[in-house]
Amino acid sequence: MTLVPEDEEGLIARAKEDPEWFGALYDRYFPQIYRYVASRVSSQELAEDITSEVFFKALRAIGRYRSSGHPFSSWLYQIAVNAITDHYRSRRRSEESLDDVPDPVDPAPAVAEEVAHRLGAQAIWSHIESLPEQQRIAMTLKYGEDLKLAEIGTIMGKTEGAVKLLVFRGTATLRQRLTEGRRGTAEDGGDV
Amino acid sequence: MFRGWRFGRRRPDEPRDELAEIFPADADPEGLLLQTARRVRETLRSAAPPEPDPTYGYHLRASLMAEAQARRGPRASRQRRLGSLFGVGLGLAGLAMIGVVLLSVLVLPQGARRVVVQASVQGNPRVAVTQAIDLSFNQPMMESSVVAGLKIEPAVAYEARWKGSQTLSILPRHNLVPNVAYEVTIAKAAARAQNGATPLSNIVIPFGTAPLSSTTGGSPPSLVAVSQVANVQGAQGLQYAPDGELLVLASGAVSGTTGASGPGSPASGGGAVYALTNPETTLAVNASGPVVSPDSQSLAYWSPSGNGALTLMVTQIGGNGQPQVVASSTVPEPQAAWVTDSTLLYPEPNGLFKANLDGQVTPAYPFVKLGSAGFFEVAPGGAALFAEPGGVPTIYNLQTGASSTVAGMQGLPVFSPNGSQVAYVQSQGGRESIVVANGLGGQPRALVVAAPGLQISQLAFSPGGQYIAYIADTPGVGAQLGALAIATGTSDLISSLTGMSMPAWSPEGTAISVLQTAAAGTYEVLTLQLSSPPQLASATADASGQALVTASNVAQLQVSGGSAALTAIQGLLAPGVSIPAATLLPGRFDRFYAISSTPSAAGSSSFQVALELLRDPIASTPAEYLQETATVSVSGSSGVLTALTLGSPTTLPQGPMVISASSTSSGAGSTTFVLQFDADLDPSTVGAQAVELTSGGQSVSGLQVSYQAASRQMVISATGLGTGPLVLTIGPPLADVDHTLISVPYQLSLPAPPEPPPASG
Repeated sequence: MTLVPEDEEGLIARAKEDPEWFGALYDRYFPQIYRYVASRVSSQELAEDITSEVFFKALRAIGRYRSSGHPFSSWLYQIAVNAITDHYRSRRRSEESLDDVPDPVDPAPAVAEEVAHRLGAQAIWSHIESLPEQQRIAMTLKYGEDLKLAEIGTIMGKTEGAVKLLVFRGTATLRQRLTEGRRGTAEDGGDV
Repeated sequence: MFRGWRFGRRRPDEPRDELAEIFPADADPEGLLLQTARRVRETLRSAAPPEPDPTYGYHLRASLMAEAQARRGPRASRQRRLGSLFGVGLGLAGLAMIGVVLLSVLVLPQGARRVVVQASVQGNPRVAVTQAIDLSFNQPMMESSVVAGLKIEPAVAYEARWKGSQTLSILPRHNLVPNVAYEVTIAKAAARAQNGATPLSNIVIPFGTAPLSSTTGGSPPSLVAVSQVANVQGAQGLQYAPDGELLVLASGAVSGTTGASGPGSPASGGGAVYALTNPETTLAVNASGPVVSPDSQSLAYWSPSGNGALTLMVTQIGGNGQPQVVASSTVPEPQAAWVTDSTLLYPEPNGLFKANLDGQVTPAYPFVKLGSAGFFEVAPGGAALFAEPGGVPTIYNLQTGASSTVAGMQGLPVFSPNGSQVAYVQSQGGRESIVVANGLGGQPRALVVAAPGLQISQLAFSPGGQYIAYIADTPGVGAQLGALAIATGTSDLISSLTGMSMPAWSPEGTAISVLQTAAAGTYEVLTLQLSSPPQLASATADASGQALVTASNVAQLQVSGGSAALTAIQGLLAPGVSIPAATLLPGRFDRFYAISSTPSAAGSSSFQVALELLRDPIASTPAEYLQETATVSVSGSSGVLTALTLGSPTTLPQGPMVISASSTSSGAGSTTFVLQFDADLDPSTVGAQAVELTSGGQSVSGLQVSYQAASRQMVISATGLGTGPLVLTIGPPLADVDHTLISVPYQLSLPAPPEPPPASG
């Protein structure tokens, strides 16, 4: 099959009629979705498992896809978010719910920025991973994928305002934890 | 003007700063959260994103497309039509199906959570090029997914056959390429079991094919002519004496093409041995189990005696004397084997005995246990012996007394002429294969796997030991004569004639004689003259070929490594030339390609030989190769290395690669190039669009490009060439059968031919 450059809507329409055209959509979005999934899970193996699940689900459901005005990738992100959530839910089934983590208070001025700057992406991700589920999803899509609030809302099935609130609260919690981490390091005699 | 931006106002063309909207001043009066957000975004975006493994991406795509094709098939079309009538119901059914799939992924039975596979070729660097690749999984697999995710590199066109849902047989459409490192991979996502389990990682099965020996043909010989030698009634056996005399054992009359005839044998339970010279000569009567001595002077055979036993007789071939009795046996159908020109080995019910021509008999090899039929086969040279104690095929080492049993043997084995190998037919899963093992019973390797229902029998080693002739009996067709090249496992029928049996090689290996059934109990003795088997470039006698041989020897020594190899390389250097040992990277590679040999200048005795040293892939390391150019000076029939230029080890590029190239010029402005590829090419990409030829810097048009799929050879013919140097370039869109483009264009440069002498007068 020879792929002819075509707009996204055209590709989606073709893929609905003939699933083999799904390959063109896959080519376009695979790296992006894989990177997102890989940034959210702990191993390449798991990232591959979940990415595979995302695209198989998308292929099987392409006939039911309805454009929301956002890029097709929003739909793939939505599937990916759910797949990752399912994974962590099954893993944390016996663990204490992280949704009970209290909201942040007492932001220490000028410290969190410094820590955020000095910490590597991996450390920040680990803090984000510990956020409540909805905050975590919103944060990863906003900071990791740089998606628009409306698009994130579509992915999460929430309003733009609700997404704003999730990102706000998640960022505040993140800032608090970064600050606590900095203080802990200082108390341990570490170099701040 | 910057102040306004700082306070969150945007110009109309500026991207919307959503972070500022999330953290408005009234909720984040000091702007601390906004600063944190921007820092976090900056840090995360500056970190290198995890890149997907290209292999994984490829296989996932293949798996998706396999499912897409399945969904697009007739069943999917039918579903679409039904869907328009029963949309809601189908939708629910579809959801239920997806639910079942998801459930099966989440709920895996204990003990089979991971897919594990065993491969027949795993890690074997010397696999026969004809060998099927069998993969055995530890649990039932999703067959279409596995096949969709299967890839072989270099690319191979193949047929995938499932035997049940746990064993996959990969049958290459053409023989694999000799001396190539292959890798079979199945993407983890595609290697999915029916319960949803996957392997821990991508399945990677590296293996290599055996190189062509420099002394053996890579393909079986082909038929040149058939001649009828004699008509025989009641033929029971056919063999050549070492001196070339063709002997036949028959219970009835023999008539030659000249009209001369033998008397026929009046005896029962045996026959007469005839020498099919012209006129035919009767060597023995009332005979069975005849064997000719290594020096062709004597014929031993069994003959009935009055007491019900059989006597072992020896007669002089061409002599007039009476046969002499050397031993007797009460075994019903005994064999005899010459151990030396004057010693025979034969069986008694209690074991083996030796008899010399003086009639002295002594027990031999007391550790050998014979079966009830007393059958044995001794290897030429006497190193090993086959017997069937208790019906169990067993090979004895006659020097040590050690024995090893042979599993799955069908029929009887044959030893190679030097005794180093033993071949036999093995039956497994309803298919027969020709198996070759070390003559002392080492690890067997299957060279040919026959199609289901085809029966193989009557193996016969060629005198040089490089081929095995056999009878292939196909239901509905009949028994035909085939031959197998052992070095490569390449096999083919020699003749389409049927009713064939008892193949016997002529001593020089240029002919095979057979019996052909003419009518009930009547046979024709045919002799099939064979072509000379294809020879390698190493056998070519021209200077270019000699340079190739010299450079190949160097490369082989580099591959072998070790101090002895380095010393040997020094011996191939021209006087005054020195190459530091470390430069040669001894022992770091597994194989090499000698790709081309071209003169440094027109008419020069110095040649540039392009070589590639290859390191086979292992589970976690891809294949690597290193390009090197050997400059070889040829004088007479020998060459010496004058320079060696090595590149750096590099990961083997994707797509097809040229592994040998040659050119021939007619001298009338035409040149033909033959390029051998390591992969099956996509025929639709083979053509002038992938080939560029320049002559003296000018592009040459009108190229004739063809591709021979079985040999993976591209042939390019150009005519009307000028006198300038030729540069041939092969590049995209040439692609292999997996649609992978050639990633490193291949280039072959030939110097300008010498200027013709000026016309006189």
